[in-house]
Amino acid sequence: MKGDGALEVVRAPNLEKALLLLSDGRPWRLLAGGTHALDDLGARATHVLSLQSLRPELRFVFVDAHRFRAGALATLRDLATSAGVREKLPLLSSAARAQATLAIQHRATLCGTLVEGLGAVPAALYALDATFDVRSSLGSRPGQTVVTARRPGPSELLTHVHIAIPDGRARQVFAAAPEGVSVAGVLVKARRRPLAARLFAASEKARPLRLLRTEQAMALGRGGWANAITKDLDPLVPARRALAVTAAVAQHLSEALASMR
Amino acid sequence: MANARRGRTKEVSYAAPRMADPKEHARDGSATRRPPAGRGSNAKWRFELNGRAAEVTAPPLDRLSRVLAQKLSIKLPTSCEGHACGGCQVLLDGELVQSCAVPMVHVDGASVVTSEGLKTDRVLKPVREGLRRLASRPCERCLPGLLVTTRAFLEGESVLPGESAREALEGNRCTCDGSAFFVEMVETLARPVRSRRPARAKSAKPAAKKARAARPKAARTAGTKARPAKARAQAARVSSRRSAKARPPEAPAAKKRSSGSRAKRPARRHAPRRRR
Repeated sequence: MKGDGALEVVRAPNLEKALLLLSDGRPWRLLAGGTHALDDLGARATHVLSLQSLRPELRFVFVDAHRFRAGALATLRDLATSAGVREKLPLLSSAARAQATLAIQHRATLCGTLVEGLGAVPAALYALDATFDVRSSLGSRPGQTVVTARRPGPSELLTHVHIAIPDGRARQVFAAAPEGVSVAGVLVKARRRPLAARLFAASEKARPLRLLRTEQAMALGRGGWANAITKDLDPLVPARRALAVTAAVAQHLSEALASMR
Repeated sequence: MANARRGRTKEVSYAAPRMADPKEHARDGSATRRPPAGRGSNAKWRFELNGRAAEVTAPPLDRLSRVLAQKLSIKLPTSCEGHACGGCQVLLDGELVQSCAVPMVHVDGASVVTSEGLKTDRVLKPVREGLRRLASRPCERCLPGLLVTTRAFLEGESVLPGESAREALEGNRCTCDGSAFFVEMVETLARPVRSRRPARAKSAKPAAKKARAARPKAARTAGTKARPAKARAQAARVSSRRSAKARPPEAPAAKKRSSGSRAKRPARRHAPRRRR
């Protein structure tokens, strides 16, 4: 326990200054929306950098026919209410609404949610194969894939998130199941090709995991993929609730498949 | 433990610039140029509280809910502090937030509205009138949060057209009976109040008028005529009797009777055409 440690809180005036501060070697902890960070900052941190003043630079959502681009400080509510996101990326919009209550949606930021990695929005970003830009005072790491990328280091700042809008053949699926489990996925059915599915599940306490068995079972098209869902969701769901969760997810997936035919 | 540490003024120093003069940073190139305020000293925060200027001294990471309750004597339940109950919700720059998730460093220069600031609010007038008629009122712990959320739901900028009151009030979790009644009441009130909003009224009204005009007059008036209460009660009694007859134990008998009567009935033959 850090009994008598001083707590230094700094508001960065702009992005460049924030990056300079992060590179000075002190153990900075970032405070974006505050919904997660505020609970454990006091116990651990000695230096806190508030990013709230970077909102003019980093709070925006841009969607056109081919791509989605959002600043790291865009809130979940911005994602949920953006007309472009609702039209082109209904999966992300639904996930943002399912992630938290209305009051939390107004504060929780995209970067905070992504770095924290818990809940529906990270699952949706994984399913949509999002990429993010990371910047530091030394340079930048653009186009990091969320699934494989190294998390931002102590002197780095996640600045933007990009998603390539799925084409018209793709079907976006979002299922909010019991036990706080969310399944996000993109299904693509091209002619004379097996169904390509990209499914991720996450819960309020677990990072997204890929439903590989379910994807495979759906591609084979033999049906009866409830078993695969149960096995895939095993790390997230307690055994006694597995049936209810599997049923909810299977229903959403079969509805999505039916609408594709 | 963390909260206790933050609450003690001696253990917290605030070395951040107050941002009163942004040029201050540009001159020396460092955001931390301003000397630390010293160990144990809090920072002063100026913001607008319920339409009036407020100034308070508090640590930068102290929660807004705690400052409002302890230093500004605003009635807010602050026991949870884990974003669980939703009782401490306020409007921060017009956005609904949980004040226990907002540090004071984010409040500087902002506008805060609590349920006390909404006492004379025009939008909440029908809600307050409805509250008087409720069989069971929400308790003192959840009512402030419910009122602020309702205000944000009815007039907020960022509420989706298809969003229900139940969904919006989901964050206000209380075990009292009154909160459930309150949610139902807001669900009932929400439709006419929200339809008065200019942005949606513009798009919704002409379509509704056209649809109404397209229907024949008889069809328009047929659905609107309400049956008298006596007739409704009689109809309900008849339907309940019918449903009682159609219950599973009696169903086979009814089926048998009907099939038997069909079997006995002689087959119909077409009558021969008359010759002209």
